[in-house]
Amino acid sequence: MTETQLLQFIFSGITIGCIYALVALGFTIIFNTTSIVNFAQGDFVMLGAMFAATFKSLFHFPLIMAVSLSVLSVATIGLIMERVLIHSLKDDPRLFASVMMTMGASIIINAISILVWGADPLSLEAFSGETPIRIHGATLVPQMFWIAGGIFLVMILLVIFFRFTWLGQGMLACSMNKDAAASMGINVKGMIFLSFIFSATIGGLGGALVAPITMATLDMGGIMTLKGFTAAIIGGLGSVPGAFLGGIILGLIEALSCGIISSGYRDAIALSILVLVLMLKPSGIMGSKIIRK
Amino acid sequence: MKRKVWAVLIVLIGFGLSLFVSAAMCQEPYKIGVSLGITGVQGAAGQRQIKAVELAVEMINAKGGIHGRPVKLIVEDDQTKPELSVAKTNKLVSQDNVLAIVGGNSGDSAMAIGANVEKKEVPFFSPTGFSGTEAQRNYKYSFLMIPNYDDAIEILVRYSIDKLNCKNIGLLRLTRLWGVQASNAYKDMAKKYGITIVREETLSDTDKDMTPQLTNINAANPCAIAIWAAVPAAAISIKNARQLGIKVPLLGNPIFAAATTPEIAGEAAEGVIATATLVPADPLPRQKEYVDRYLAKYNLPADMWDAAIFDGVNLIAHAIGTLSPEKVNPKNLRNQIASIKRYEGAGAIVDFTKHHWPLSESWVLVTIKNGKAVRLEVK
Repeated sequence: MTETQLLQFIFSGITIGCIYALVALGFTIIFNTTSIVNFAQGDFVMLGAMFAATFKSLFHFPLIMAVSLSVLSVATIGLIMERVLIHSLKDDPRLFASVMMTMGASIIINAISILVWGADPLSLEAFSGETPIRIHGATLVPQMFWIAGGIFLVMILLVIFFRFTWLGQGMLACSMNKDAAASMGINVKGMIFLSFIFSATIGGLGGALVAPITMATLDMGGIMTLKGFTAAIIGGLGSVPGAFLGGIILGLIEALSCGIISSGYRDAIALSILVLVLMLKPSGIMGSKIIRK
Repeated sequence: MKRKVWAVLIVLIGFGLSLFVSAAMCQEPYKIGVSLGITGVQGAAGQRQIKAVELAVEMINAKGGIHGRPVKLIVEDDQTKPELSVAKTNKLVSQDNVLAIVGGNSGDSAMAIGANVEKKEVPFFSPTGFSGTEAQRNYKYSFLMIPNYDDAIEILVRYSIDKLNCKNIGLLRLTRLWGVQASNAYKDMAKKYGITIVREETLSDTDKDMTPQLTNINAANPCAIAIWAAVPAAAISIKNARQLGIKVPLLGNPIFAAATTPEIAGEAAEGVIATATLVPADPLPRQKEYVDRYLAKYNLPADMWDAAIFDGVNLIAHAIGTLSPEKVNPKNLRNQIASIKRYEGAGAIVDFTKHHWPLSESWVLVTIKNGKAVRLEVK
């Protein structure tokens, strides 16, 4: 194996890792507020990709408008999902029931999407051309920088939000103890409502950003949920920097095992790493040391 | 009093007669069962195929049906799961008493249904190929409507040797059954024509980045790279290859000729060589009516797999027509289908007296030009 090859594997890993990281970030908000793992998170990404491709490629809207409209549409769907499915659960939403609700939402979103878009995949052109950037013979697609930019923007906003704003602190409080939060005057249901809208927004933005690389397909939701969730677990579910780190690590492991060992064993190796992380540090690399009961 | 009785009797007889007449006017329809993966792994393809089945039945019934009787579809979604397709075919045969079954749009579903209908003795048409498995080759009741993919690969290998002067081919293929069969076919052809598969790598349907595999293939210095994948992985593979600066010709599979692949792969797909039985943007005269009607009705370009299942329904209707109405049953129907000689369909050309899959002459070479798949004339 030459240096160029190794460099290419690393570049491939970072590119795909950034995609996973973007999905993983979406998991953090809802988890931080409700301790719910939202299994429709990948479907938000799918919707973001489909809306962006529809607005840009089919309706020929300008890029900025297509992406904004797409994010807005997905946020609206997140809002509807929370109101219809999660909010309707009794005052003390049981964790298990809520998680099942998100799985149901995933199935409903898929079924409606197939009626709206049909089964064929759509494409979205890269935001700043397709000419790859060459570094020592290895190549990177320019879209990668848009994704990376999107991740850093979302990460900075999230860190500021959770650390320094009253709303963010309120959301964290909800996750730690709902009753205590409520007795301190925090509107728990309102926080949950907001967390779904924020998560859908991040998912929608992620979908629009990754579509030029992954294409927009109806079945991408499931795999995005799986990979994003794996990345979030590796990094530590709920941790914002952890989501980023987990995504990049998962992407690198996949690309390196695919390139150096064998493409057939890639998923097996990636999942073995997940098991290893869970065995050595169950809370994830950046996760808090306290394990909730 | 007597008059009243008579009046009642006449009314009753009249009513009975009208029932008899209306029964004759609207006879029992001929029932065709569908067990198709309309959702699941092959859901995207299944959605298109069910449209083709409905179009075929609509066209048959518009012409007055068969023996003046309409054709009725009983549709079951098997979710592209082999185990479910067996349950669905059981239901279609024993509860609905269908005359024939179309469906099984993935290799493993087609095999499962094929084994099942062999016991039930009901003819079955599938839009799949790779008649390579020994069992399927010898089934009496299965008819595969895609010509053998081995032949498609042979055409590509010969093109590579004759026109590209290339004997070192790299292979990127699916991990699932369809890809394994392609891999075996490429290896067989390598032996037959003295070429080398310099490096083989795999991908899954859900993969979003193939650059590691393509980097390894490229490092083995192939003079052409064969890609055997489905949408959208096929399109991503082409884009990744060009992104890595790989300039050698790419040999695709029939997916590349369907309208979607060149559309979503964009400029990177220019010049890709593939084989197909139907090129939607450039159909043969015998395929034109189907392609036009499919496009007009659904506002979607047809492809070779939906054309294959469309032909399946038409072959069933054709065979029912050759039997006298009282002799129509699944067993007789099978014998009638098996004796069909040269039938030129919208998808492929079949001769079931030779074998239960289309003739290899159905394959045509395809290239992608200006964003569309077109037939490639080779002198």
